Amino acid sequence: MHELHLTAIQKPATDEQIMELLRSEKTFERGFRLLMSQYRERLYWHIRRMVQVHDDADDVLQNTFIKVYRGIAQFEGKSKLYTWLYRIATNEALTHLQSQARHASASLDDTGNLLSNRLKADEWFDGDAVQAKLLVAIAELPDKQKQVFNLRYYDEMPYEEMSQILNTSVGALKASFHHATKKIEAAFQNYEG
Amino acid sequence: MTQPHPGMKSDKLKEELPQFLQDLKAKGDGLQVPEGYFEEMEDAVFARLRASGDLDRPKMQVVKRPGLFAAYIRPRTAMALAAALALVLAAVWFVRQSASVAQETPLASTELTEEDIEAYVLDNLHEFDAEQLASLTKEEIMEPIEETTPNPPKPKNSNPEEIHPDDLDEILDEMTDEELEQIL
Repeated sequence: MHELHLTAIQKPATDEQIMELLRSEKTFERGFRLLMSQYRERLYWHIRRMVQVHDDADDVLQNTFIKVYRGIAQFEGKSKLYTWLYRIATNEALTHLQSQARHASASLDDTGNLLSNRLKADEWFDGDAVQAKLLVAIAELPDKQKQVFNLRYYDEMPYEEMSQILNTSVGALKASFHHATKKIEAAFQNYEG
Repeated sequence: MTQPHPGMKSDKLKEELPQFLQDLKAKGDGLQVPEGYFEEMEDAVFARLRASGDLDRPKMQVVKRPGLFAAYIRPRTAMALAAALALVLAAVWFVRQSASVAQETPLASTELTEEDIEAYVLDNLHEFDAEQLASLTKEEIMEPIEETTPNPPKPKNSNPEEIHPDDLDEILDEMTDEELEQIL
């Protein structure tokens, strides 16, 4: 097995290069650090847009990488590495949101109010009321529509690529995005903020 | 540090969005991330892995997922079940084998030689139905013997239905396997 040169590592590494490092005990840690540095920001923003608050996103991202570390031997390479990572991150984020929703229902607060208050308290959110309103409207979408809206609106991901990641037909994704947009529009209908 | 905002690259997306969402996209969402967060996050992940002992374990060992059966049954239980199953199968096989031997003796006797059969009959003569042997002697065997024997021997016993062992040798010599099978 050939060693990767430093110059190769400084460029964006390919999945094959990362997996090659991960296959050897000696280079495993280096490979895992490379995997994290390669995908951490993309995964962070995906998670952050799901959970909105930085501290929550940090917890979910760390949990995601720990799960990846423990389960990397099970990655068969049938899909892109990012697709696999994205699914783990999404599951972690959804689990986090479910536990948050249980907490909200226990405190008789609705998800929108809870999130709105948490955004105000989050030092890593400096948006205005309209930006907060948009984040709350996205948070209140059903899980699938939320994922589709974020991938399309923020990442501008083509539907074909999204179809592979979410394992959903392009037609269904377009419909989801359309419904999500209509719901967000409706949320802003009577907004005077 | 704020997130990267590449702006609206896709014209197609522009067509899909109402104006206020296009404006909000250009404005950004107000989400920020602490400076140096990502580098520290990597170290935090490794610190947690170290604390949990994951760093010391083999990483890329191929993990074979157990099948549905293996997932629910422990090895010892599986071995005990396998042994019990083997015993039941052996018992079933033995019973069926015995039954088939009893029912299908003709098949088994095809491997016997005439000498074997003769020896067996002689040794176990008392087990044979004398009446049956006598009738065979009269109807099927005695006639050819009479034809081929100019001076038939006198009966050695007072009871004509009994067969002398010496005669039996001849009778058995001339009997085909099938005939013997029918008798037995």
